[in-house]
Amino acid sequence: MATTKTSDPDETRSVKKAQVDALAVPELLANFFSFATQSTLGTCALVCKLWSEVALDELWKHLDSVFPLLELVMSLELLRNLGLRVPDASQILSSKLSDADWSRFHYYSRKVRSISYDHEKRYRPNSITPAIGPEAIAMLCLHHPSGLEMLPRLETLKWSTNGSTTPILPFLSSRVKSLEVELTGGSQSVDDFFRALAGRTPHLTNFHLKTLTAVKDIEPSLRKAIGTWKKLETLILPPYYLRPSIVGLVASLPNLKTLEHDYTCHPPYDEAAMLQELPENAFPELDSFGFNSNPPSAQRLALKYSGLFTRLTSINIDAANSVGGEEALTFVHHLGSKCVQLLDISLNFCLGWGPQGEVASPLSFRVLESLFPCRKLRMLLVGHPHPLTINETDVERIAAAWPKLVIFELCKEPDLSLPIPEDMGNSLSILPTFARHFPMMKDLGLFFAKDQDFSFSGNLYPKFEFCQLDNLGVGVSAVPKGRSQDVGFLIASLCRVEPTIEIGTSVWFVGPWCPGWGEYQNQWEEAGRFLQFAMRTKIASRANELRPFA
Amino acid sequence: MSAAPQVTLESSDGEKFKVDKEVAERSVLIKNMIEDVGESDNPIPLPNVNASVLKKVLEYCEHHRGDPLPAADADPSNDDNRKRATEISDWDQKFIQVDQEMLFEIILAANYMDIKPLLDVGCKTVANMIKGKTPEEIRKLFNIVNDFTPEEEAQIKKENEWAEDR
Repeated sequence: MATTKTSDPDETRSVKKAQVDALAVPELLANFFSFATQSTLGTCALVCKLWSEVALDELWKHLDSVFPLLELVMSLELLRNLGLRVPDASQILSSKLSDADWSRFHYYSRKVRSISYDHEKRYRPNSITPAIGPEAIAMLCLHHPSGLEMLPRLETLKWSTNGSTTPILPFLSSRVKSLEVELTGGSQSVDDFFRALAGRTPHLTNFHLKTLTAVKDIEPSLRKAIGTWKKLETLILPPYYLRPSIVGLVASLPNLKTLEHDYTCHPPYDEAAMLQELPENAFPELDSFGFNSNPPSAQRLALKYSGLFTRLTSINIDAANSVGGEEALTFVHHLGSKCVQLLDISLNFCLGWGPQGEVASPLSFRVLESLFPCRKLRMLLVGHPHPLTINETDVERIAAAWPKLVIFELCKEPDLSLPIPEDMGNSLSILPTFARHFPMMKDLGLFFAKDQDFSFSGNLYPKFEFCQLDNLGVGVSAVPKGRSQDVGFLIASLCRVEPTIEIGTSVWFVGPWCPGWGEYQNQWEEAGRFLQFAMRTKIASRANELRPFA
Repeated sequence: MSAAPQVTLESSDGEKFKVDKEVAERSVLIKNMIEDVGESDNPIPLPNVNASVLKKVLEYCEHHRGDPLPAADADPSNDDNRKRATEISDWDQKFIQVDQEMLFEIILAANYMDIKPLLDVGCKTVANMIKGKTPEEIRKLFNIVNDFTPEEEAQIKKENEWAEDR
């Protein structure tokens, strides 16, 4: 539909006025810029003064590095020198910083709402990243005219360090609402951090800690810090941190919605067994709960706090031991019969230690059947040392039970050190059935048999497609011998947009124990190239179809 | 066909448009007006939108009449929403292929009438127009006068160099 152009001069003038008006409204400019990349924002900042102000607000709102701030007052060269000669650095810095430097720093620093720092991340590709980042910040603070508050409007801080935690502190003002820290620099530095943290961030709503430090080494300081967060909504702690002394602190918080553990490789431990003594009406608002446990104690917990578990919409359990089929079934049956509000279920019935001493028996399809009463289910992740194979009828039954399912991963990372026959696992021919019943699937993860005979018709335009599949997880599956092209084309034929083929393990650490693993990876990468090629063909011909016949 | 409830909208230049209430209510402004005033046969005046633009806006509302309404509490400063998708669907893309003046008319109307998805389509289109251009090309495109001194411009460029390759 074309717009009619008018030759009426009055109307033309008023129309031109629209552009001038729109471009003079900062809110609209901000809206344009919210869709621009960082480099485009950098360009827009040079157009005129009004654009500059709005574009820079947007550009500096979220920083994924501390270096843009440091570079405002220090050259990269100075930063590098600081790294080499720390004793003199303070002096160099104080002699260098003028009022103009500070006013420039303030102009930008007050725009920053979120910042992240990762000691492993390179600041710029193709440039030598000075290792000095955090230390330079600490030093900058010493000279900062208004003391410690470096970023007065900061709300979100994400920090990963294997060194000192001191540089984090200047960022922690009372405005900070969300804090995610990965601290791997030894228990003393972690303990120091929590000591300093207590009372600094009273409005914190989200806290996420990753560390390998044992909870016993930092418990008093951690408890003190957590005790000051009365508005907490999300608390994510390392495994084995959910002990009564810590959980007790947050059990009565009125806003706590998510209590989770962060999964890393750790020795087995049963948190549920320790949580049996919670107060009667613990967690009034909790809807998302995750912990390490073995199924029997998880079930005892669920029975004891049945009110809480009935309410849950998300549950995430990492087993404290490899769980056999029968044991898993008993627990899952309980979930399916009592916790029908669940939207997201993640059950990892195996451990992240590679080969297990004791081999658990395989799961059966009944584990899924038992969860069928959870009609609202959106996400189901199941992990187990053995693969679980499903057929077309199973897929149809799953689709009938869970019409809203969009994330589904089923034992995609079995333990390959077990004697798994080569023809064990799913057939790739199951994918069209999934596409037919789950067109809105976003993430699908399955284990495919190494030795299988699947067929691909060669038709890139089948009737049923995944409309929005982002991720196809293949775990530790191999590509059937010599068939990477067919595999790539089959997947392309079933997808409207190109999915990522996710190879290997996301949570568990299985790959390195698997003989021939590198070869599997190469095969999937090759299949991925065929997928890409086929998708391009497909998208190009679609675009032709859509072109209007003018 | 059962008679769906209808409302009449009046453009700035006095033209009247009779449309289904469901279509008109894609505009939060109109939805609130109807809620406040109650249903009546009087036309709803839109003094900031002329007939040619209103026609175009209603075409959009008609096509998207069944879409789910965007969540009112979506927080734009939320990190998850930060990397906002710049893709525009095929239909919207064709719809928004208009001359530059009309594009900004639609944006202003969508802003005034509070039709968030249409505003976003317009804004994405502008963002796509800016992409890859130099500051001088952008100024030329939108008739913007450069009010920076060369020194000021160089200083800002230097302070934001880090964004260049991102």
